[in-house]
Amino acid sequence: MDIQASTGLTSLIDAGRKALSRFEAAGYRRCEPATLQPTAAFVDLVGEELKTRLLLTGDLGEYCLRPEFTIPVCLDFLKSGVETLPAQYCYFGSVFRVPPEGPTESRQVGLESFGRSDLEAADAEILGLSLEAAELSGHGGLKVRLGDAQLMNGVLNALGVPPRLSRRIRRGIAGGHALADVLPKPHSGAPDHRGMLAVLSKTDHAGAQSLVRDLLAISAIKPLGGRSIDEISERLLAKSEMGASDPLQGDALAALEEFLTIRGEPDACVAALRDFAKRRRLDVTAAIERLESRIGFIAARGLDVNAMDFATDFLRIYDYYSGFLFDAAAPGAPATALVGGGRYDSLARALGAGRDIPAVGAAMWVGQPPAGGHAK
Amino acid sequence: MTAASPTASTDAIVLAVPSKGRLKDEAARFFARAGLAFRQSGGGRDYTASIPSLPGVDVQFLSAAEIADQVAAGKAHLGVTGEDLVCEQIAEAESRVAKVSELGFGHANVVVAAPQSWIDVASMADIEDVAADFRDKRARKLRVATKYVNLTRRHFAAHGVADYRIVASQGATEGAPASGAAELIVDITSSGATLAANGLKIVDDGVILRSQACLFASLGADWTPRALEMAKTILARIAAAETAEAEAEIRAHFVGSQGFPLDSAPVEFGPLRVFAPTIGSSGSLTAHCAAAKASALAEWLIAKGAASVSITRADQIYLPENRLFALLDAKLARRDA
Repeated sequence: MDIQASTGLTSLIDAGRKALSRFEAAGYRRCEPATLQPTAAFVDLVGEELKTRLLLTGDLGEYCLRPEFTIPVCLDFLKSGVETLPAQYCYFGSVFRVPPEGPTESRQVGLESFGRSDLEAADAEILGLSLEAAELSGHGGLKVRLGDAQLMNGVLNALGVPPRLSRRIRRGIAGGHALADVLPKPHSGAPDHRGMLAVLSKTDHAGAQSLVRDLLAISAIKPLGGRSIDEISERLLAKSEMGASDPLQGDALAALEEFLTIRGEPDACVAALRDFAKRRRLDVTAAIERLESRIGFIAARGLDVNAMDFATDFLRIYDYYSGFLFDAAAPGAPATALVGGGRYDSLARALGAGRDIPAVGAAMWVGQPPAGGHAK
Repeated sequence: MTAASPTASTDAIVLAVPSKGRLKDEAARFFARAGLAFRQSGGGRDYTASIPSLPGVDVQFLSAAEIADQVAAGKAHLGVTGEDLVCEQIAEAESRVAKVSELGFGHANVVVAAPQSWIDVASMADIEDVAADFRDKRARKLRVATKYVNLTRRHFAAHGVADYRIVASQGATEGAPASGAAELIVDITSSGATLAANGLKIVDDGVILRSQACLFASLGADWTPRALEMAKTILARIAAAETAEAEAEIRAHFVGSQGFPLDSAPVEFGPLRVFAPTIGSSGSLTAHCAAAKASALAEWLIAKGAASVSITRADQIYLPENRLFALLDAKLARRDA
């Protein structure tokens, strides 16, 4: 390592330590999760696609260098036993990812809070401490963007969108796709089973099952792929009940489109959301109230909340985010957020805790964010 | 297993071709047709060959998978391999290799196949739904056996399927659903017969790639002026063979003709290349036209008074422009820009 590089490293470590000390002063305990992590924990939660971004090791790639801290911290927290809540941690160290240009090691500093029941106050604290830490490490005046995964869920539920379509929409919007591109297209070119499905929809489950069993017997097809005949016939029946109808159309589609256009100053967004819910007769009061309460707590920390941007379509692709979302970027560089955070109450359950545990946290890049790298 | 690694050679250009099976035979036949017959040293057991009609070409016999890597890495200038392997193995293939020509053999598709007994599953949308069922009701992910890990990830992501796990498979992938190792497979198939024999069916929008053997050029190889000259010659010969494959030569004799009518040939005969007819009270003219149109053109010429018309197929038809080399040259220029 040449001297210049090592000077750069010293200043990075210095910046990270300053951020870390702010978290420790606020009562967050420093933790140091292992660098080697079980690959499955990340791939199960995030999906097969993540594997292309992980630095894998072990004969079967069963271990990876940690690509982020939240899952490792949560795993360690669950291992330590969760009797003493709330538990608040902070960390500073390297994360490893494979962007298109090749593997990189980057440094992150961050904090995680588990088990606080005053959700909105905890959300505001994480945002506030993150911004203070960013300023201490030389990044003042960041532009903050706010989002709310629960609000999106609430609207989709109130519109009667079936869970699977709802998930597809959330993931698609989070991935930056337009709503129209996310909605399933009517399948063309497929053999038209509508006639048979129409007959099936008039029969009962038992009838459908025996029909499927007979069909498979006649054609001498072996049952394969671990799904029973009952399951197959049940889904065939469900398909027939749904018919060829588009599950999201007319008013519901228009309402969702309108919802996704709401953005801007947080206070104005709350007013717009109230108006939207009332006009569309959608019961999302609880979610709007939580958003409003959170905005209040953020303002109470002395932050200029109306200099922040709220956007209904700001979501993250990971299913475990369950509420508050934020990121913060240098003004003029909104695509590369320096800080990212959010609430993920269902992460503990997904990692085997057997129940949801309130959790909110944030991570900040120390030094330049890697190209296309999300802090969270 | 595989060939020795490329050794230092005084040859100007490395051409990698498949070392076994049908691909090897087809490739050898293809190059022979282009006037580039191989002479394998060591009585056919060696993994290298030369081209007697074009000294300076180091022909290396490698596995198809290795050829994709070698061309991408710049260790071979030119290589014949399956498009499927390049798409699967080479990250950002566009910037590292140029597909110079589709060779018309080794056709096969990379497809998503599901059990035939899943009569409720016809499309990727159905797979997305069943995948969600596995996640919600069995607390485990739907498994896809494949050696095409990258193609699978891309295709599933494009169809919004997220809840699945890839089980890496090296060979006999079609047996994975029967053995319980996976529910679905992504594999290469030419006729679909192997899939059907294993109780599997291709999903409607599950054709990921229509592949065939192609000639690839490396954009990262050491393209010395001499290597470029050699590539120009090789590609000119291949283009000449390809043109001859697509076109027929048509010759018409006229006696006491009042003029040759080809200028007024209807457009449906496609673009014609007419050679200067001999001038006089009688004579002949020769033209190249699309092979499929040759018979109709002959009939038309007879109707216009030709005394006889013959159609022949040339082995090679050279044209002044070297379209295959132009393609490579343009890609190399863009790389250097």
